Amino acid sequence: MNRRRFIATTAAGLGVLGLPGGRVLGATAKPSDRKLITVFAQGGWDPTRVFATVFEHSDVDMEPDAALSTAGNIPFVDHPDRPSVGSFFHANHGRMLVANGVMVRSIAHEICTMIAMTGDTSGLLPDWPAIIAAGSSEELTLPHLVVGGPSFAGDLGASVARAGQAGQLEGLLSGEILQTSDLSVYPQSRAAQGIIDRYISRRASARAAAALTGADATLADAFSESTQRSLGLKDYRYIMDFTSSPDLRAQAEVAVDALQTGLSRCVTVGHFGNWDTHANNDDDQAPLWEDLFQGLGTLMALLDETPGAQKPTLADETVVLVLSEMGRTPQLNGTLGKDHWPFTSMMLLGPGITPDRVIGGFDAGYMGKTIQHSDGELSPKGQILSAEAIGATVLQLMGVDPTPHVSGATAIEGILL
Amino acid sequence: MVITLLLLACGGDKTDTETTGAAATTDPVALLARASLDLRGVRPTEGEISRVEADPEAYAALVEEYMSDDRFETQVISLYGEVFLTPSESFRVPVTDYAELQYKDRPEYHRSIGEEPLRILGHIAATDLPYTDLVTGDWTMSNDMLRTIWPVESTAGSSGWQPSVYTDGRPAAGALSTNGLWWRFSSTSANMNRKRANQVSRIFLCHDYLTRPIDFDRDVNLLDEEAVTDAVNNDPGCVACHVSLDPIASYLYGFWYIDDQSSADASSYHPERELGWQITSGVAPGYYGDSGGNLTALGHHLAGDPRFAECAVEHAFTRLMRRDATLEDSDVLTIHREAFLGGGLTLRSLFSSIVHHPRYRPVQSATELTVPGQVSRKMVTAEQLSTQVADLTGFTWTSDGYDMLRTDDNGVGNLAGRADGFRMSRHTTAPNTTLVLVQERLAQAAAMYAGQTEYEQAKSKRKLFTQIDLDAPVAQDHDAAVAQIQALHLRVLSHRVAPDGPEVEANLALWEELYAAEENPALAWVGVLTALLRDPDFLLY
Repeated sequence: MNRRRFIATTAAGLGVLGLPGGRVLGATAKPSDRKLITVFAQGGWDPTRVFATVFEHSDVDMEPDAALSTAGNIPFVDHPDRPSVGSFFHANHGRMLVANGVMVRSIAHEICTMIAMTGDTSGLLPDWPAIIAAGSSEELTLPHLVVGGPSFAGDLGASVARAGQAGQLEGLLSGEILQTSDLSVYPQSRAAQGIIDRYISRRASARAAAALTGADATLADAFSESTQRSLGLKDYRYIMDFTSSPDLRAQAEVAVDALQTGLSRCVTVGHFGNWDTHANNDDDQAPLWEDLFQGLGTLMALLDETPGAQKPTLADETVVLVLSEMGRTPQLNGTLGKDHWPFTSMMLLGPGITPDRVIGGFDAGYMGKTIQHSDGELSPKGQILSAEAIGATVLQLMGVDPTPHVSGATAIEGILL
Repeated sequence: MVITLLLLACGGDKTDTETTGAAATTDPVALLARASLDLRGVRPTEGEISRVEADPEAYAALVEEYMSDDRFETQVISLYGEVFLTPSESFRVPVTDYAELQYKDRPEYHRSIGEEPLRILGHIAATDLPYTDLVTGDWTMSNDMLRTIWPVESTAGSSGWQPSVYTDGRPAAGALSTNGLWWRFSSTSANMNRKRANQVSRIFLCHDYLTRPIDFDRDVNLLDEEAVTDAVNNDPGCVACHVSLDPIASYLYGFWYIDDQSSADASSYHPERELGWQITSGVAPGYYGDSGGNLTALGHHLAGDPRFAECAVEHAFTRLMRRDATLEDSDVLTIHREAFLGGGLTLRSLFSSIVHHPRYRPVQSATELTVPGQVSRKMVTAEQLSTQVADLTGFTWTSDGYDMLRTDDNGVGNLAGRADGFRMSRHTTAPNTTLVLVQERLAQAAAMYAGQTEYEQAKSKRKLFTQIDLDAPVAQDHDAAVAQIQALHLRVLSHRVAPDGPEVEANLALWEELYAAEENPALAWVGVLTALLRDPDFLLY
């Protein structure tokens, strides 16, 4: 039994397993009590493999052997090589929403990533999870844990910590990371480390208390806060394992542990694979989608079987945002790849959203269709479905007023319950 | 850009007042520590501190000495890693594609490639060459690794980093001619070197096209190649960027790789591909309306562009102040630019102007006069954390040859706030949880390493534990212990503390607590050193 299994006490959510029509949510949590897991597929996925069912558009190269399928009210692209996609849609359509034709305004990885995560191109503003985490009503040891994927902490760095893809955070917490040092050193005793930890904790607090105004105060406060959080994290190491890997299933375990133990309100995980398929798009994207949805299936199953803090399961309290920074061109290029495209798809699961639904869409030119924010329905006179609007919606879904954080876009009220 | 435009328009009257007002109140030791960390990556020595304590005007001479120090070159390389973003563990050509190399050579392979363009800048800084050599020089820098894998040979010494030349006939354009830059920033057939052209603009002109809002004209059929080409050339929304970006991109086709994972293809420049633009974008090479020429011409165009020098000033200001320039900084940017131009475009003249300006000075007490824009405190970078620890203790944290604070796949660079251009685009400027954990583990290892090393040495040979017998309890020679703590504060934190001050009292208490737990005087001293290396003022300076 690993530490995750040890702390996951009962499979409280198993009662809903196997229900026809897919799993549905139990009583939903208040926005301010909701948690967020962001799943980021870095590199730019091709929505025509799953979300964009644009078979009728002759200018879009769909995959051979792909077929239109439907789970509840959600159409999707099914393919015999990707059974996990259909399984996931059938199991989860009752609590998911797909947004198609989301505009990310750019075709550069870095800029699209910033826009998708922050709504801004500077890289200096905090991303949606960091804002939500920092606004937590509870005192959390680590409000936003980044297990994988991108992270923009902005000025909220003290609330955000990366785990590292090779178990670096776990190694730092245990001290075992020094065992691989090329210069061999004796480890300090636990007793000595504890004494020095307490000394530093007092020293950091005193330094913050004596700080001047301006940057000195900001930095000293951040140091003190980070020191207290780092000490708290060491305690968490005994009840959860921060060791992860590029594998989404392993990251999902860390994410669920972090939420269940009350360590964090937000966790970001990443799906690592060569999504940037400028060549061999069909061959290379197919296994990535299969692997992604296997990982998402694991994540949702873990959320279902893990008791929530206030609701029967963690799934009842947790919003899952699944995205990639951009889409891919509708047509194959000379090397059978697809290049960068400024319209993509995103997916939301969990409490607070109108489930079993698709909003937006792709037009004949494979650009995003416009929608009305009031009801989320397509409208020629509506607004383009932007990544900023998705961000504003997620903030509002989590009880955070998006107004000061998102410029030029508002939440899509029509998809919120 | 607005800042750049305002450079010429704003005067510097306020600065004279600032100079007079702040100079009288600045703590010379804090200022010296800041300059030493920024220019050498290490803390000032006790002797240097004594010099500015005796005469604050000695600061100017010490700054000159710092910029003549060998470490100035490596510090420039470190500072500008955030600009070039070339240090990476993700180059497309695998190390094992070179018959001469093995998998174990990866750390040196990655480090060497990523540092190539930065080493050019470092050499320019260290030898007072004009900054324009960065894009016009007919030389590069290579080390043993690069001379093994690429067509490059040294023009100076035979080992280590040396001025060198490529032997494959590539046009001379400083960093623009380096494999290191273009291996880091690749392109695709659809991208047509535009990504690379934007890096030229971002790095050398401080203009990042990607920060411009993009408004896709929904009337343009993006699926129609001809319609897209027409839009790029005629649609105002597209033309605004592409009219200047695409011609720059067309200079770079000599670095077009048919197989960017092949050492055979990617090691050499390809003059036969220079006209590749004719079959891709169809846009001839040009620089803001001035067409023609090759990569060498691009370098000269850049060097002659007023924005090039202004961008150099902005980069240096941002690195040394650890904050972005704002409109309120327009007056000082003008001053620094004039110093840069007047100093023959040497980085030394530019850095000197910045570190002598009142806005650069730290604030040590609430009673000090401050000036607008002054950075009262800033935080070290991950690399400065590493270099100051190494200088103090001799401990460099590497694992399998990888520098842990400069790498991310297995290292802790990102966790310590280091930008890599992939996961993070800017260095972290404030402490966070993982940085504090990195500091903790680095401090433990470094203090233990120093303890182990100096335990075997005579007191006179030591760098840190210079006042005490490491085997003796404090009670055996209390005065020596007090002197030792004072010396550690001065060396590690650049603070001179009183023998009866609260710092000494707190550290003696810490020593006693550690000694009570382990009954080992040397380990208790290692613990005290660990605590100082974990101090907030070891990060904040």
